[in-house]
Amino acid sequence: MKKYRLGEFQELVLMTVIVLQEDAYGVEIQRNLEERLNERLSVGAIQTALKRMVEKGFLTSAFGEATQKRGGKRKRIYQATPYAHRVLHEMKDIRSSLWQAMPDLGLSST
Amino acid sequence: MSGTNNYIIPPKWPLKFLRFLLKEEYLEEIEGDMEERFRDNLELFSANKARRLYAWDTLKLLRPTLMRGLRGYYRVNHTAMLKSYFTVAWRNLLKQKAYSTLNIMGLCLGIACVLLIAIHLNDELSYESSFPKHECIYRVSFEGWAKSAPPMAEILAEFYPEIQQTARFYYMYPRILRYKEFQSEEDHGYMADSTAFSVFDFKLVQGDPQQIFRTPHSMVVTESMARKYFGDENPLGKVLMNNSTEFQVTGVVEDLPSNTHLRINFLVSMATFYKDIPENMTDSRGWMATYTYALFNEQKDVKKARERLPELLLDYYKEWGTPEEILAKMNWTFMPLDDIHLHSSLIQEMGPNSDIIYIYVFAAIGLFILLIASINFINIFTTQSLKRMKEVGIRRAIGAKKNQLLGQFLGEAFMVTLMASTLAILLFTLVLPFYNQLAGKQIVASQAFSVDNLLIIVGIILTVGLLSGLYPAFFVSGFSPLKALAGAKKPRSSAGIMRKGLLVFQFVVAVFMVVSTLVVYQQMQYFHDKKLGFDKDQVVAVNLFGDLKQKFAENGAALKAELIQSLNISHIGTASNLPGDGLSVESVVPDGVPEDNELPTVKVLRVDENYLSTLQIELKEGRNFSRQFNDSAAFIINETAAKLLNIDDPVGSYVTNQTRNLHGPIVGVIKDYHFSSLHNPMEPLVLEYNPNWNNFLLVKLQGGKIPETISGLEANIQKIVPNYLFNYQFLDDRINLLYQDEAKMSTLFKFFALFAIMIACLGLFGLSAHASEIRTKEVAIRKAIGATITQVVQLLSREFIVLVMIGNLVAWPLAWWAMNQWLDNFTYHVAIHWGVFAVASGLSLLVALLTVSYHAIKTALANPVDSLRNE
Repeated sequence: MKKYRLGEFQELVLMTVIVLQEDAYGVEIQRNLEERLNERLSVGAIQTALKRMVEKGFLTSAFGEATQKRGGKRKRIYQATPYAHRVLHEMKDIRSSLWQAMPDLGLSST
Repeated sequence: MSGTNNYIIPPKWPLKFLRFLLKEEYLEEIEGDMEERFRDNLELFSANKARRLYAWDTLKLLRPTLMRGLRGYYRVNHTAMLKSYFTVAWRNLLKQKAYSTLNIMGLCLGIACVLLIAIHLNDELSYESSFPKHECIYRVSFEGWAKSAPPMAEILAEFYPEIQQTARFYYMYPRILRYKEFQSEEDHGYMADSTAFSVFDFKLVQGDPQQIFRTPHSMVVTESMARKYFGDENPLGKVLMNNSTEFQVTGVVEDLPSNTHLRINFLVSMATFYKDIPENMTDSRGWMATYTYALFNEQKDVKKARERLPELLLDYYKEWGTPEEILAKMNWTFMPLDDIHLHSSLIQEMGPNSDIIYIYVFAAIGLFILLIASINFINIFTTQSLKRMKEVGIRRAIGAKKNQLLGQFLGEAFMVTLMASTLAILLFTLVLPFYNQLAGKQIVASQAFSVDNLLIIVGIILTVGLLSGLYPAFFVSGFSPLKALAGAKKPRSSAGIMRKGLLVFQFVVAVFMVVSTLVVYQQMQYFHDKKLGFDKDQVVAVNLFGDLKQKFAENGAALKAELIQSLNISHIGTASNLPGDGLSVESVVPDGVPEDNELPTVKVLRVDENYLSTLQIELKEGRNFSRQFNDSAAFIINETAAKLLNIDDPVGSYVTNQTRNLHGPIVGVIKDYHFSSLHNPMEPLVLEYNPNWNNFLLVKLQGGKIPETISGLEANIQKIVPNYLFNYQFLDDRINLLYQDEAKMSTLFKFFALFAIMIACLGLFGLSAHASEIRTKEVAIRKAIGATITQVVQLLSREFIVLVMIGNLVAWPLAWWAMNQWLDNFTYHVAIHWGVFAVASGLSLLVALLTVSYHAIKTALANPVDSLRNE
């Protein structure tokens, strides 16, 4: 997994981007993720993850429309690359194979 | 989203911050996100909380990925640019000679001060660190006594397997040593266990470690002492005489470092102790005679050892009472060796220790001086950089990035700091010997520049450089190119809010220090002038020992009469101790008090019948001791003791000194007099008639021709005992010694307060120069219209005087509070007088006025034609 260098938090942000589709811009991603994780995130944390993933080729981005709420600033809409999709799937496979390989210790919560 | 919140806008400064620090291509998006987030928060929280969250989020944006680098984005010819920076910086320094000098001088003074303080603190904090095992060495003390009973060491070693070794020191008295014809007073001599050498790792230069302490009366001396007595001769095997005892030198150790509380010139084998001192003493569990140090295997063992201490005490003091009583009374402690210098002030310490409070005070002073110096720098640098607006404007206009300007000005600030530091180090080296004298230290320059201290020095330079360079650099690089070019001709008012605030702060510190200095000084004067209840002036205390002591014990009255007759002397008395000495603490009980009714202990002093008259201590009731009444055991008590012992009619009643097993009448009651330092409250005192216990001869001189009288005294005494080493001190000197800590602090305070004011005034000088300069034209026009010189001077100085006054107002309550805290250390102290504040503010205003008026008068006197023609 090491070659992808996709951290846990980055992975969450990446998946949120895919979930949100056309709505995937900074604060919207943050709102969505905060709801799911049930904790406060900072703009800095989200932005760092986004920028890092752009650098690594997981995301592309383009400016979207501006709104009054943003003080007239444009949104930047993010989109996952095919490469990102592939990496996500590989990670999921690795995880599920590990889950299957884990012995049942009677600790499952369900 | 509701429209009502639209008028609320996020705070401005974080945005500025962002724009400055974040990569430009990210700005639009992130600003937008922040704004949107802020709107969201407004829906959820109060406006204030939303603003707070906004600011907090801004800070969290400071991540490497998002921030721009400090380097510009374009590859330029860096060397050429750097060269240009240096040329410009250098030319600028030369162009503004007066300001540059001010700036460098102020900073140099400040850094030199801080260096002194830093090195001083480093030295204070390094106490005992030169002993390799210092962390595992603990001193055993007992109920507030630095010393403990001689058998204690062995008991501890037996009880605790964790204790590797113990070492004891027993102070040797009398202190005069003689080698052939040469004799000298030698303080700091101890009888010691041979284990002392391994516990403290004393470095033996000569002698066989196995043999040095084999026999009684073996002596190991330090190198400097060996040199003093034997010169170039080989010290081994030489014999030193003390009184009538012979000591054979069996070894030489290296001198101890200055940063230890152990002050040792020579050590004598512990076997001597057991040979020369009676067994009932050396075995006594109540005789607090030896300093006992225990070396633990590991530092963590001590905690366990402390927990098991009650077990040992209960066993050791079995017959002394119930377990509760024993544990309440018998308070043994293990004090870390490293804590002794700064945290210990017990009865009978080896020497005066320092106090952690002084460390804090000094650190604070250092910090403040550093701040004052840096503020100066900031103020002068920013005002001067206003003149360089044109340069900044042009640089920006032709494409310099903010960062580059920031780098340039920060670089310039560092250049100046570096120059100032170099000078400061020079100054520091020059001042060091003088400072050593003031502070009672022995720091040598070479030691001051050890690796440790060099790190401190580099740290200080970096801090000052950053502290004083950052703000001006931001300030300058923040000029917008347009404004900078347009405004290049006329920099605005001299003092912005920032500069005013900083100036006020400087004077707060300076005034605070002046007030503190004055209060400390007053307290010192108070010590000096306080009525102690006895007359300390013109009293000489002569050390008695050996034959002379013997002769005075046998035939005192006749010898005294002879001395009084032949010299200009009015009284001679003898005493076991001098005022200020630690007195013997004993249990004195009036007859008829039931045995289980325990009375507190009292201090006991042994005197002869002339003691009271020599020191002119007032008798309240009863009579003085007298030979006629054959006072074999008689007591005089002070008022506090009378109250404490609760005797209705003390004179004539009988008491027993249980400690010494003496029974006798109280013959008199004296008025309380301060026999110990004024740090302590008045304590109960019992004077016991005992002319044989005469460690000191107290000689009251009769005024005039003091040197002659003293040399006459010496000659007379040497007639009684030939070759006697005449050793004396003035009683008032002895008493001043009690306050030497405070005296030292007072001197240092004066020194640093002076520095603080000087540095603050340098800043004021720079600012007022600038203020006058930019108002030259205004003044010229005013004069042309008919303003008088006085009016002009007033105009130019008013602003500064107001600022200095504000500084005063802020400083007063602070100083008042701090000095009250300090004064609380003393049982007897002065009240803070309003005059102190008056003097401090008067002084600060005067100095400020002088500083400012120099420029004001210069400007006011200038011919208006000259300044106006230049237009």
